[in-house]
Amino acid sequence: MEVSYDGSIAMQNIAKEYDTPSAYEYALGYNSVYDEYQRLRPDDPIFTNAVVKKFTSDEIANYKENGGTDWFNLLTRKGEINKHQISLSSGTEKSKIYASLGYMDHQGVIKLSDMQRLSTRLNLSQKFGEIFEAAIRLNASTTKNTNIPVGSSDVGFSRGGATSGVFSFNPTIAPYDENGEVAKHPFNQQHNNPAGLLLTDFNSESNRLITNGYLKADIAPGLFAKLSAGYDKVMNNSRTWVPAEAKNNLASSGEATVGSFTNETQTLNFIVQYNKNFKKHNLGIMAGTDYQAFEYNSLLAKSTGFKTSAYKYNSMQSGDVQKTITSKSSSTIFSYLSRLNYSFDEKYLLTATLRYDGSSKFAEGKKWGFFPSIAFAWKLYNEPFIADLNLFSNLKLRTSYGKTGNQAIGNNNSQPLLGSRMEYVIGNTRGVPIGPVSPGNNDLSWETTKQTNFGLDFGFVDNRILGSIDLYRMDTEDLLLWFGTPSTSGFGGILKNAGSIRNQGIEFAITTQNTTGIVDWSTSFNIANNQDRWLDRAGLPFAPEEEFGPVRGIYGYEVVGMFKEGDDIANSAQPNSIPGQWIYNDVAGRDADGNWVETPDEKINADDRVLLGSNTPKVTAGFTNNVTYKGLTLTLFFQGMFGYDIWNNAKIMHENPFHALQLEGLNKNAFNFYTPNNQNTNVPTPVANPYGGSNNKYLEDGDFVRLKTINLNYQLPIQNSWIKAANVYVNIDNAILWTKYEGLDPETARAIGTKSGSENDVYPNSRTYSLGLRMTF
Amino acid sequence: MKKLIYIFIASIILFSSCEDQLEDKIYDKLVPGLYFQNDNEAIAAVNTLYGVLAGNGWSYYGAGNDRIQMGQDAMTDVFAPASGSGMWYELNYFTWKTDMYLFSQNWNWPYKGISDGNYIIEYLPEATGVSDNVKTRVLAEAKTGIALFYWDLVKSYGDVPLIKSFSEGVKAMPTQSPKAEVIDYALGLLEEAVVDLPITYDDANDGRFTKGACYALMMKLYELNGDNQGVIDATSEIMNLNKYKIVDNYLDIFAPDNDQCEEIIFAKQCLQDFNIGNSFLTYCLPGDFKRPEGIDIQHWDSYRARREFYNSFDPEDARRNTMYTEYENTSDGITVLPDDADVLCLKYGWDPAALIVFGTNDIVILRYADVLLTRAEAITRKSQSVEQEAIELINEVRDRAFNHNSDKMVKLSDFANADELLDWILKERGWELYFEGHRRIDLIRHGKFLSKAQERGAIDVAEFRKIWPIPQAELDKNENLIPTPGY
Repeated sequence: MEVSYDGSIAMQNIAKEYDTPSAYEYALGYNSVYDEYQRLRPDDPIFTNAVVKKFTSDEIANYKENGGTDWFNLLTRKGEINKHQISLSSGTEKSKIYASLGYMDHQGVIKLSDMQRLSTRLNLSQKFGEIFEAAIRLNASTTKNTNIPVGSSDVGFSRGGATSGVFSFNPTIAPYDENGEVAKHPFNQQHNNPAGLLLTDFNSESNRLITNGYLKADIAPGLFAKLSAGYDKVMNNSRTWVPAEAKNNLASSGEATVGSFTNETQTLNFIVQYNKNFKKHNLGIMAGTDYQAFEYNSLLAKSTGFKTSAYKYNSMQSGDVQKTITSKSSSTIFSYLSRLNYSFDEKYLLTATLRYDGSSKFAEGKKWGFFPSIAFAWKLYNEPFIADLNLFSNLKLRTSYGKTGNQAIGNNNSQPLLGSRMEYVIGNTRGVPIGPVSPGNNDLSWETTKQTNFGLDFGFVDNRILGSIDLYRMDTEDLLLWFGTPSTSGFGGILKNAGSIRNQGIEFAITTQNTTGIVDWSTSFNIANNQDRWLDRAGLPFAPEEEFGPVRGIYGYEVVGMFKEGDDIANSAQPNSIPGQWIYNDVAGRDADGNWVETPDEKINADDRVLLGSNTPKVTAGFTNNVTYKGLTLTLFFQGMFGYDIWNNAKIMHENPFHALQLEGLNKNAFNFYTPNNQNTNVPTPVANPYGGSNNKYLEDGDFVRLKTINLNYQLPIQNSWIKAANVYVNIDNAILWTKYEGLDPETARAIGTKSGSENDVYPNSRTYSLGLRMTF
Repeated sequence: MKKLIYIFIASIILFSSCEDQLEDKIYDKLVPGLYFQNDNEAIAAVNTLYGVLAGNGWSYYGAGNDRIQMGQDAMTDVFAPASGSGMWYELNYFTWKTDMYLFSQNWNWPYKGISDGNYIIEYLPEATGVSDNVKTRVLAEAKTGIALFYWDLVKSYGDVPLIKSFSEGVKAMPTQSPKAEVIDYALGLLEEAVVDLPITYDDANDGRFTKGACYALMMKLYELNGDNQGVIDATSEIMNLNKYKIVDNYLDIFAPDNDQCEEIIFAKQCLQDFNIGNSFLTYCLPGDFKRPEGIDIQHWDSYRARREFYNSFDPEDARRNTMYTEYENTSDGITVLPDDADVLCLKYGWDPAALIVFGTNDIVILRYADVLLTRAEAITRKSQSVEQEAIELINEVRDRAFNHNSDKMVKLSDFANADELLDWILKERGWELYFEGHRRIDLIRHGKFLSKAQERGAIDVAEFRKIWPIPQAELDKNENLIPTPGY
């Protein structure tokens, strides 16, 4: 019987903040934008319609004296994490038990974002008789979340959650008006005051139960059968409330939602395995079947138009306009499995597998896929001619070839479907029509990947140096791709098996035991290079010349400079540009038949978009050092990614000086814009360029190295009849980041979507300092 | 080994029933074979077309920036952006690019509606559970809807793909068909539909396509085709219905209770909520505008009526009463707009029921005053002379604008020739129909689209801007589409 406790407390702060101006700096910068814009566009409606006014010198002096609003500060705080876990384990030859109870409380760095989780686990296994063994595992958890909308797409907040909202109001605007209410934007209510977010209540509760068990029978020597079954259920309830007082753009009469969903998975698996050794031959045969069923149910009730903020989401019937949305879908997978293992003399190893998988997601007659694989390994170290070299302590050559299938798509994509469509009003009554919602695809089937692998494992000096090299190539065919179809089709797109891509690369890992004894020092290093490219774009849109370009290519205009005073702009490919605007590379145009040709046409338009970069890192690496001296262990873990690009979307939004005239918040650098007296700058003039669009000036190198973890553990020199071991540790997570990327963090920026990174709407990355205790009784 | 085989066989038996479960089960949708079983389902299908009018709730005839009517008028002399950047500025100052949301939304939604209409035309006739009278009416509504969607497409984009079938359209990578061919196709649908559509509906079905809507769409399509006789015939049919009239008060056409207005031939019906509301006023209100008691909608201050346009009105013209050069502000003072500032245009009336930005005022798409002025223009163009009937038609509209003041009526003798009268009709259409989505095509028809842009200092005034660009996303998805020349 063993009991252990693991607990820690931690503090968090935001690793990097935006470089926003003070109210004083903003007011000065704003006036310079105003002057320059007026110089360039004196008749602009923004002046004639008197929408904007300059800051007076009194106002500026006042801002200098009294500061302004630090919107980031208003919404953020120090984070805290508390974790406790107790576990006990006990067992005999015939029966084993393990139980644990864990608790975690996390107060996030953005206000109102909190999480509490309670989880418990129970594992039991028992042998009975000579033949049978049974086990039951139970895992239950309940999680409570309080959220603040972070992204601009969160419910009811079309313009700005906490992180993007920081920029919707500038530092000269006070968060609250003279009555103490959330202030409205001076002239444009499409901007939400971030202070309003603090009045919202978004919370959810998620309960999860995972249980599974098996019955195994040793029928005869070397022969057993095993029946396993499992059940996993996630039940989620959520409630949101945006009061009228939050002055939210699109929830101005109060908006409440109550929602729930359940996600159920059932599994049933039966295998029979037979192992036989004779002389130097080892044989293993396995055959079985596997069944998995998934079901999803959801319910969302939404109510708007509340006369009072007293009820929050607790009286949905009090809203004037109420809506309920439900959905249900399911899918199943059924598989036949078999595997053969054979080895000879501990030198030659062969593994062959055959899978025959069926998925309900695919079209009638296209549901089944056949996926074989074969692997061969040669334990060279066990050959006398290698062992006799006395050089290696391990040497193994591996090669494999196999096909795998992918069915990770949504449900109900193969059949044409009709369903609820956008509401209409007829006879002063609203209604929901039924119409085509999906074109279906009666050819939809498995996406398959053929993978070839060569590997070498090696060890030297009694395995104090251990390493491996792997070379792989994966060709994925019949990709499950969402094809945007022309709108003339009546549908946004169709899911099709089309195109193929290749991923190939090399992975290298090495672990060395540098010293042993009083100072025990070990190092692990791994590095991987991956290259992905299209083999067949299958007519997916974009840039004909990039047929074999990277899978997650980023396309846009290439900036080749900035127009300066005196340039002959009228005779350029951008005759309506002005000094201080980007010059784009004119690479292509159209021939007389309207076909794209790579010939400059003296015109900058969408034909000139080119491949600018890729969002997939070419190289990823990790580096760990463990040094132990007496009871003290220091762990340093570095990681890095190299050779990829990120859209700095925040920069596009917040370094556009024109946005000052809409009283939006900006980065400090926005005010370093081009003027005849400030020509040496990377920030264009406030007048919008009539040409181009997304361009490489806002595409940044995402390379970084991060000291991800510093951990110092001390094993207390206590050992007595009831304490088996005791450790205290301090840990710093996300300690140091080295990068040229100018946004907050290249990794959080990557978190949005797969096509291109953007950090405008993500939860900021924190640095976490924790102190922990681990004890075993 | 025998045991192993037994167990394997047993396992296959155990799970063989599972294989049947690979069926793709549908719970919250329907497959086509189960549809069109009864009258309600046929009506629910055609109602998709009325839903499509609001696009995604914001676009097309919806509530957002990319509304088709404002997109059309924003390119003209009646309009001024409130601010110096963004889409309203780009549209009014002729710097728009192919990737603007306005162009993609107003392409995508009409084609979605065409697809929905074609679905009905393709599958409803075979349905057995639907009664004949419902079938007939629903098919006629679907055809009229398709014609309306093509009208919007052709007037905006010129030559556009012609999709005549749902199932072929799903697979097609179409190229553009000539504008005239598309118009002829739409006119053909309307000729069929007009026979089967009623002149009016009961209250519960108010807002559906009527005979009048059919004829008014014919009028619009004939006008786009330059077919003056077609316009004269279609307008005669509308007048012969004896259903529509010029109502006494101009503002009533746009009031919250305008759904019974006898001047409106077709409108997008609105209620006070997301996806189905009229957001007109929100875009026109400055931040410090003091709203009338009991009105709680937002102020987005996006655009105004151009000052020169305001000045072009006769001060006694009641149609100018939607516009304000001064307003009471939230500090209880009066904000007087400077002489060179553009004026507020609050064309749709205040609605106490409005929520957030959404009023219940139906969005007027086709109305009788437009019919009269369009007829006057066609008569003048056809005869190439100043005809008494044209003068009377114009005066029927002016009579309301000037509260029956006969001094303000135009006379035969005011116009030396047809061209002078046509110039007047263009002005009269501006005063009558501003901000209703007709101005762009009116200016183009009268050859003044580019010169008017030049007058207000638009930046890139060029012939190609007379046609909206085929959206870039569509060109990217369908290489058979030919990019709109010039962009």
